[in-house]
Amino acid sequence: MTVSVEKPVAPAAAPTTTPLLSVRGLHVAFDSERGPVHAVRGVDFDLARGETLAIVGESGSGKSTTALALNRMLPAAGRITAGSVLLDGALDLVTASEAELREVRGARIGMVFQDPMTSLNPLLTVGRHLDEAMRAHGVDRRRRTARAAELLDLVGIAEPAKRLHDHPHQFSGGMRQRVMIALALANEPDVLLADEPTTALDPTVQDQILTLVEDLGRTLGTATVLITHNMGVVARSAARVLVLYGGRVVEQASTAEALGTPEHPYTIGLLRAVPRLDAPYGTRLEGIPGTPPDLAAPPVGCAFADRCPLAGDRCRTEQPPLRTLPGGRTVACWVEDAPAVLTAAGSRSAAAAKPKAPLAEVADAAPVLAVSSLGKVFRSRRNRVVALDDVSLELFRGETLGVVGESGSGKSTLVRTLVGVHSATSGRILFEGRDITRPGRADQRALRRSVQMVFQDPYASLNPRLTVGAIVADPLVSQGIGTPAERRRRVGELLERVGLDASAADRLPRDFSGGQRQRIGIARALAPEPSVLICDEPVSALDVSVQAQVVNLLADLQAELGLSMVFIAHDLAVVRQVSHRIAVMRAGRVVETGPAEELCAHPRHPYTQALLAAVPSPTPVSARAAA
Amino acid sequence: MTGYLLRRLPSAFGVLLLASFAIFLVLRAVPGDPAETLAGSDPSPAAVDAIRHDLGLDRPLLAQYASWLGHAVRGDFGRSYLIGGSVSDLLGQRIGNTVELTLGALVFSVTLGLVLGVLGATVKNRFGQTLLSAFNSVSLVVPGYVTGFVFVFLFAVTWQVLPAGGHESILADPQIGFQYVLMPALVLALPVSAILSRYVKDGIEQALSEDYARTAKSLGVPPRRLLWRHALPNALPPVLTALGMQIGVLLGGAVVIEAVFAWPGLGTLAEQAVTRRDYPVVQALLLFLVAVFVVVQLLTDIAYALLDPRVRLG
Ligand code: SF4
Repeated sequence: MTVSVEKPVAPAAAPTTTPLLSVRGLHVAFDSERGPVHAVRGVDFDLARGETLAIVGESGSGKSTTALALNRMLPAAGRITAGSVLLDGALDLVTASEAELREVRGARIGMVFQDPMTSLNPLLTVGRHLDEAMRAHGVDRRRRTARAAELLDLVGIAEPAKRLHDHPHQFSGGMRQRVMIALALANEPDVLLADEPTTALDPTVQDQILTLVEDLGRTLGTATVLITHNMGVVARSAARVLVLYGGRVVEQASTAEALGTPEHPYTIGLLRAVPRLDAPYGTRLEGIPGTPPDLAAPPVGCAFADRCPLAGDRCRTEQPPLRTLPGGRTVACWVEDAPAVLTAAGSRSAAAAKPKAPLAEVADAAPVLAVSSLGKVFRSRRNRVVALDDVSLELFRGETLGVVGESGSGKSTLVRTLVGVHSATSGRILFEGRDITRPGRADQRALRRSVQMVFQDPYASLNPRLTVGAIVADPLVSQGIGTPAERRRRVGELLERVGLDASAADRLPRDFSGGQRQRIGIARALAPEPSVLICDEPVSALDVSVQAQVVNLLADLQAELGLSMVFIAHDLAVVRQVSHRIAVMRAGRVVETGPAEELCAHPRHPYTQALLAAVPSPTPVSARAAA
Repeated sequence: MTGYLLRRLPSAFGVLLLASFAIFLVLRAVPGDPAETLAGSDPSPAAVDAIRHDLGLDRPLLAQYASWLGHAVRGDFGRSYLIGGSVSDLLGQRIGNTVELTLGALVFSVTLGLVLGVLGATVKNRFGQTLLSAFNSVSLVVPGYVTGFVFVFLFAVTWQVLPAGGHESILADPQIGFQYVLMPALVLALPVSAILSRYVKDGIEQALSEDYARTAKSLGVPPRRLLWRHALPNALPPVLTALGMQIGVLLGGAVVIEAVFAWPGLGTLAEQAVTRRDYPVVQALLLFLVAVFVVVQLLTDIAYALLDPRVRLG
């Protein structure tokens, strides 16, 4: 990726200038059935005028809660239990009156939220939204009308005067996020809080939105706090990073330092777990074992101790203070040379890790699954949507075929057509040489056994009322495979195979974390010994450190069981990580197919090139320039 | 909008037609013979047959239905067997009164429902909440005739500020007419307002918890404006659906309340017609009720489309 814009430089900490925002000892708790959950436990940071600060962390790290607490936008169950947030060094937003806060919200601090589909009022036109934003801060009517169109123009919406009269549902997701940005900037605030502003968007749209935020920040002199879980977004957009874990800051540094030479074991682990497009092909990801701490009963010592390879006795009993290193970066860890120690440990584990299974010689073998000129057209009363257009793909034994595409590319329709949820409008599907485009009863039964699916959402795809054992055994029961005793044995085997304890069979899905649930979903898919596994966005709902574990698991299973796998995702780096070959889809067509490494290194089709360029790399810009 | 209406109309007519047939059949299926009732005590079979032939009741069912329908579309619902005179005239005299009562009740229930609902969503102290929910429960549980008698006892008998019953046209003399309609309409409205206020309260609370409300708050939109401009409009569609269904309840309730307040409307007419098997009158009344439902449904959909651009344009 080339970045043509200059990075906003972190201003030197001049003691005479008061920071725009100064956060000290911020604590936030949420009421829950199990008592208070301490989501934020002592966060300190300063934000200078015009600066871009990223707050990164995985789910439960407290990053969004921190952002919402800054101008007291916490949901009803949440409250600030201690700390201060000084605006201009004067007004403490923690103790300010509601009236004072209202003056600050929108006028001094603007916010952009994650989901542009729900963040705009469906009944109000976009013009009305902008009008309300300005009216709240006393802009007179004439001025508001003129400025509304200006604002839409500013965020790059064509024909702004006309689009003012449109309602949110008439805009695409990316366009709605532009509207959100226009709203947040309507009163020219000094701070823009952007909470995962691009997480719900496709990579190419994400790229546009980030560019917009950067450009506007620079022209308007707005300081930006960017909340994200995506290291790539940090690398491209922020000057400084705050890494949160378990509700505390574990590391604070310039982006180049934090991503280039991370100091804290968690930051190091997180960066190793991120799949990279520029990593040597076949490098294994390293997940962080374990799960984040339960903040209803926060650990006395370091929150990361349970997952940290360097944890010692002191780590479990005493909280590490923030140490300031030369250059102003701060780290909260008892071990002073963590990176060096970890590298020594890391090289050992890397040697132990299995490289990706080489693709077996398949030149003469017939494909397991072959799709030729597949077409699918959806017709409704008023329109006709071509979801799949002349799609031809082959999947060989023991191979992983990655399918990437943005929303609307047809990748989900492809899956549903393959497993028979939709019937193809045209074309043919061959499974082990048999035509299953319109399967007969016997074919259907065979297919239900040989082709299994792993779904995206590990929360929604498991029946919450069934035990894990019953869930995993379900395909066996419904297909009448084995006796109850055999099934029980098989379930135990499967659970161990996916890295869970066999005793998990007696528990309910709610006892498990997202990553563990995805493992359960995989165990269920493997139960009837399928020959083809179709994974539909299997890791996109998971945190990076967990995502890496699941990706590795899938790769191992495939190598051990000789499975053929179709891996569908929107994240090119993940797809490259697991796939032998990749097919890129756009608007219902396959625009390019090729060996994974080759396709990512030398994309031919302009769309593949655009897609690759849009994925922000988690390597700091300075390091990339040096390379 | 016109296109939307045109799409909705055929199904509305379909429902009416089906309902008319069903009503016709059901009335023929219930035991009892109007000819025998008409013929008086201990009639000769020949006399009954003559009356039956006279009324056209000896013809095949479908033929009876067809001729009834043929007349009905021209506004002729036949003649009342018992009271005499044309059914249309009979209904015409009474409809106005019932509509007046129902509309009055509608206005009260919507106003009360909105006020109570908004209060329910905004009043945060415990005493206020208890008061509101107590009022709602009482309005819902106590039947209309009981509230009616209590009201009459209080306002007409004890304090003597309102007439105990009867009717004066509100069009002829608004002030006097209002005094007559006030009590029955309020009694009729109370349970409906309790139901509506529940929908309003839930709708507002739901809307205030949505992401877009958070957006508005993050922009510094004042709480009052957040409530009225941002949350309330989003709360209305389900309220509207509930209201559409409650109009039936209001009409049904009117039958009882009319009796309590000696209100000369369709309710009193229906009571007479049903007990005496006056087919043409009952038929016309039922069809009228169905027509009201269909029209209300249509109006609800239109209001929906007006409120929500996604329905209108989608
Ligand atoms: S303080 Fe201890 S447990 Fe925490 S990160 Fe450092 S070494 Fe690991």
